[in-house]
Amino acid sequence: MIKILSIIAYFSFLSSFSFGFTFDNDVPAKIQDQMKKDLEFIGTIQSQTQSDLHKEIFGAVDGQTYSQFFSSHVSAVGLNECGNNNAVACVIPFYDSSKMWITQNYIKFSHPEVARLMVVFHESRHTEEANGNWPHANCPQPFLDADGTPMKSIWTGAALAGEPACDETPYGSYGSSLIMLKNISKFCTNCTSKVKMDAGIYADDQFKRIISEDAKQRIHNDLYRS
Amino acid sequence: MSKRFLISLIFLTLVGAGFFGTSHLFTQGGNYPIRKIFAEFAIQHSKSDTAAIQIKTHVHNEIEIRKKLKILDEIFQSKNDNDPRLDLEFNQISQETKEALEKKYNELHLESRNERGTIVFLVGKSLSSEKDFQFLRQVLAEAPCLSLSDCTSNLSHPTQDRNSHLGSVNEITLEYPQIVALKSIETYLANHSPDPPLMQIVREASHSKSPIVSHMATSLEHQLLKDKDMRLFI
Repeated sequence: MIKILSIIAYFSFLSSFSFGFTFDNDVPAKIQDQMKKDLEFIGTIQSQTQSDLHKEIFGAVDGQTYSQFFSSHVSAVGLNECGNNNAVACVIPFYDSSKMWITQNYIKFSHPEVARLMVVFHESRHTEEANGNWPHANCPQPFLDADGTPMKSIWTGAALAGEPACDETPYGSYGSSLIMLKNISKFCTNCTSKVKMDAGIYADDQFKRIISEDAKQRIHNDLYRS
Repeated sequence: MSKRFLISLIFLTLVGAGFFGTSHLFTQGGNYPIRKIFAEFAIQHSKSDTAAIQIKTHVHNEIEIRKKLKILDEIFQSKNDNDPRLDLEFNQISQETKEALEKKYNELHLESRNERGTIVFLVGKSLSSEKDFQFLRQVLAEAPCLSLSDCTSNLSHPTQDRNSHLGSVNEITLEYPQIVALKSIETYLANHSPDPPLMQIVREASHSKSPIVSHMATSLEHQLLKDKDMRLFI
């Protein structure tokens, strides 16, 4: 009897867990499950402190904060190809500013969990209509890395120079997601060492997309100064 | 029948049971009474205590390895990178466990980037031997993965598949095992003197066909050389 009651209580708990957004009917169950699991994980994060920019954008490095941020930005999740065979997620303001579209690559590609979360939080920033959906800036021409090598995509070989794939502010999608991940990497107290390493790897990579000297300096001072 | 003959007979029976009849027990959790009896008996009655201890150690290691591989499979299945067992169950793992992990690495599909990177991470946490370094060298020497759908074939259409917006996420994942290998070396060298074989691996990686790996390895090499120079001047 106690066993049956426990099972009922368990399923009642699961069904009461709400993410504050809905999935379209055509989003495959496997994608829905994976996205729920990923968001459940981010909802458990704990820390003692955070950087100033993180506090300004999100608040504390805390699972509840991230869950609220996501729920307040994304009202629905649908299935779309996002116009690209390699895309994982996108926001199409022309259809619906608060709707996020997920592609089959969300579960098809073997990304670390942190990478999947970075993508959905990057896209959730694009839902902010009040900020013009935080449009990206065109990367400079030439767009060189620290060693003077042109920044380019390694699987298409296409140079990023001139592409709308950069940010001039710490508050856009690249900036906010890198600030979130770098804070998790530095301050999360209940993350595995793999999650913390992954968060650092993907944050450092996103930092390369910040192109204004002022924004770079602010992020550096906030998170990269030893 | 002499006592020695009887003991030998029982010993051989238990060996047979231990290695053939009960092999399935090694794949499951819980107690292993036959194994325990066998190991105890071997220690008590073997002519060579050293050999008996070696057998016991081998059996113990085998069980540990299978247990850890089972845990790893569960973590891979769940896709939960925050499973605390990644930290709790894989600290200071034995050389035999590392070799089993390396074998598993080679069995995984090339496209299993996160799973492969996770194994590199686990081996990299306990770098201690030349064999470990050789594993990292092998990982870093792999041909770049061209597509998350098929590492060996770049099927991307030059315009349709261009994804400058979030392309760098894919690019990092494409080279994830190699990046983790370099991170492991970086962490190891933060606490150890840079020894020539490891420096050679970094140098080789700096010539990788993957721009990301090449760039990271070059930066690491420069950083290490800078630190070394600093140590010389102190």
